[in-house]
Amino acid sequence: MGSTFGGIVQAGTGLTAASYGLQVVSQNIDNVDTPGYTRQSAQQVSLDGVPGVPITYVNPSGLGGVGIASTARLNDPVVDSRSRTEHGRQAIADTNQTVMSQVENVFPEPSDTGLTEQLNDFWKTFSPLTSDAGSDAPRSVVLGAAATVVSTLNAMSQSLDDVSASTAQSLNNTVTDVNAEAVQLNTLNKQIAIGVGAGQSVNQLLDQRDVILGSLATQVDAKPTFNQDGTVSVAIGTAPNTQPLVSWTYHVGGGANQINVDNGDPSTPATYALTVSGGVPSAVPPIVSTTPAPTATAVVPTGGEMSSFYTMLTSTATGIPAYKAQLDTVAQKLAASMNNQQAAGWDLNGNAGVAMFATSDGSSTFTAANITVASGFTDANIAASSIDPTSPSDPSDPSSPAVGINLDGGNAMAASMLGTTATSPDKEYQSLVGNIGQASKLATQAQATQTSVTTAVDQLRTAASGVSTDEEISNLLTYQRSYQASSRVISTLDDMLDTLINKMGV
Amino acid sequence: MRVTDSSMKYGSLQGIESANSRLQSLNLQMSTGNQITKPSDDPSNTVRALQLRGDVKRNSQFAANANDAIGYMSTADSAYQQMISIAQKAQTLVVQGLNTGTADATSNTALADQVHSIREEMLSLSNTEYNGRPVFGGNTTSDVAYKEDATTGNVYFVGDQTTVNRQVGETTVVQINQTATDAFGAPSTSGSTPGSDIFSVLQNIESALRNSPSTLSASDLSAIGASVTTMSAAQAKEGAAYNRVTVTQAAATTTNLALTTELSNIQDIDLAAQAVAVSTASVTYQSALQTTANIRQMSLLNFLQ
Repeated sequence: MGSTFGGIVQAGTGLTAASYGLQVVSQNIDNVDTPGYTRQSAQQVSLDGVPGVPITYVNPSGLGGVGIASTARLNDPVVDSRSRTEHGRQAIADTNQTVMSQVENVFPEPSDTGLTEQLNDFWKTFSPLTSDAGSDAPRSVVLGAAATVVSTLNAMSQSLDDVSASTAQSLNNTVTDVNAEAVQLNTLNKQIAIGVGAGQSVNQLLDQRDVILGSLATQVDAKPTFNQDGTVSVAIGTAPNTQPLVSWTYHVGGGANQINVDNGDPSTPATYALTVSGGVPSAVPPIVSTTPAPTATAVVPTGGEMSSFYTMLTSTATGIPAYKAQLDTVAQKLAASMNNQQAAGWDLNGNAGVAMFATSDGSSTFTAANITVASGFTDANIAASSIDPTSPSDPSDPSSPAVGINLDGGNAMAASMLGTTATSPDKEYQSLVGNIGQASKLATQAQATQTSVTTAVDQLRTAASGVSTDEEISNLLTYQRSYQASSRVISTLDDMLDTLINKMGV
Repeated sequence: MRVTDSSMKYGSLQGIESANSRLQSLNLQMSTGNQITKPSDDPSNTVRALQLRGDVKRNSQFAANANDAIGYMSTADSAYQQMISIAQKAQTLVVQGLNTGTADATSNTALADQVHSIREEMLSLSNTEYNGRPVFGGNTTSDVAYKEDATTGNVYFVGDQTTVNRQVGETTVVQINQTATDAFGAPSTSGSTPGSDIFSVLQNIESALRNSPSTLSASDLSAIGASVTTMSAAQAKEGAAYNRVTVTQAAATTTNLALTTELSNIQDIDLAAQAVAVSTASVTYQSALQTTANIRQMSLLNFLQ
């Protein structure tokens, strides 16, 4: 014991440490439910006071007591990084599932009103025409059914375009979010650098940084590289085409780039190609690439919802364009099979059948959007007859007079069976529905699988860095008792000094 | 392992959510009555269901076509029966004419009148219609198959000799008519020339009886006999086609039942099994909620004074 009042000062450090500990406990309890909050703990260290006996008893080296070395942020960087990866995958799975279910909703099958049933009805309307080729009624029914089928195809094509448009909107929103977060992250980098330089606790800033990194990971394949002071650089894209999004060099500074989407303009169609611009080069030393992004450098994200939106919008294998193309094929097969059948027959006026389906925009290629019943095509134009009016009325006697306009229904009969041919639109449409169903099912399964993985990782992460109220309450008791004990030491020393000062030699 | 308030939240939320979503999807199936509410529920069976729907629809159309064909052929068949029976009557009249000889002009005229009326009846029967169309006229747009020339009295053919077909099965197309030549012999195509069909045979007999009974011969008898044979043959062919249609139709009924059953197996829920599944899922969901609620209430604070 070095001085008369040394013990009181020493016990006083205990009071300070205990009350600081209580503050940390209070902070933890306050933030039990704060997203991204990482639990903290007061790191106490004993101060050199009574380091050894007996030599130091004679010559104590310090004041003694307890001090607060730091306030530790108790996270597990490995689990945090894993959590970001899994959340990135989760975002892809979620987005794929959402877009696929929107696509699937365009094809409400099997139902009594879907395109399958409309096509069945269309082919079926040719049957009454077989036996009653001369009447208007069955002919109008055929035309009515044809109009229904093409308007459904037009509507489906429009709906797919709408899904595309809303997906493009989501892509743009994501890009806007990412850009805003890149700027935010750059600001945080500055604050962290300044805070660390000034020797302040930056735990709260680091929490915010991790929240942004987590959010970025769900939106784009953001690959963070941490500097020793807690500042971070983020690159996106896949090597060797990675591009810096946020760049920060330790002790130097940095900046944030921005992502742009090619949304096209009235004269050029949107390609949804993504570019990075802003001119902020990679941090030094280079993270993954030294390629600067001077004006606008192309980047293809492979993670996060941005990549899913991009794939859905542009992929001709698994994206919306693939399904739209197959729907166009349905329209093409419908037009081809029906128009060919028309060409094989003769109509009510004895003329060779003309095309029933035409394109509304005059294009030579049929699509689900432009297929329509040819303008001017009337009931009488339906080529029900398979007998050439110029052929002999008695097939066995070539010299017999021409058969003329006739009420044969042979061509209508053939048309009624078009739905069963190998090149029928029905088969193509069934395969389209099958493809979409399969893709949607896979997306749903992938989402379910990923959700349990993500949940498990979240559980791990929150187990490491989350606040446990039970633990905090027990810490609370410890600090409370420790505070009480330190108080007791002070009052005991006070009693002793009272005896020494007031009760002796008076 | 450390357990914290938030890590517990993830575990219990996942349990509750998965129980809830299972309940939801079972409920949707229950309320729609369909196992497949969207293609992704079962992609391969969705495609199968779509194919089956097409098959069922076509099959029902084949049945309708078969009914139409049966109606057409029944009409033709009854026409054949009557025509054969009156042609046989004409045969007996010819025999009478041959027996009477040239002696009795009055009775020959009476026979000629009877033959004439048989020909008229035959003409009317040959224009028998089904659904507004003459069954012996092929695919003609004309209302009748045969007409009688006002001046020459010749009966000539105004229809065509094409075949009338009906699709009564996936690959079964049946010819449901007999051409005019097959039914009554080669017809005349204009009123000015006589043909070599039953109408010409009857006309020859009539004019022989009326004008020169001596020219009536056994060849007239054999000619009308040949006509009866031709009509009988046509009727038999029609009967064979009729038989084919009815057999196909019966098969279609069986197929329809099989298709509908398969479609139902794929599409529809098993109500009892579904009800059990829904109530099980409901109990699971309830217990997940209950357990979570109980566990989440507990804390060290509850036990501190």
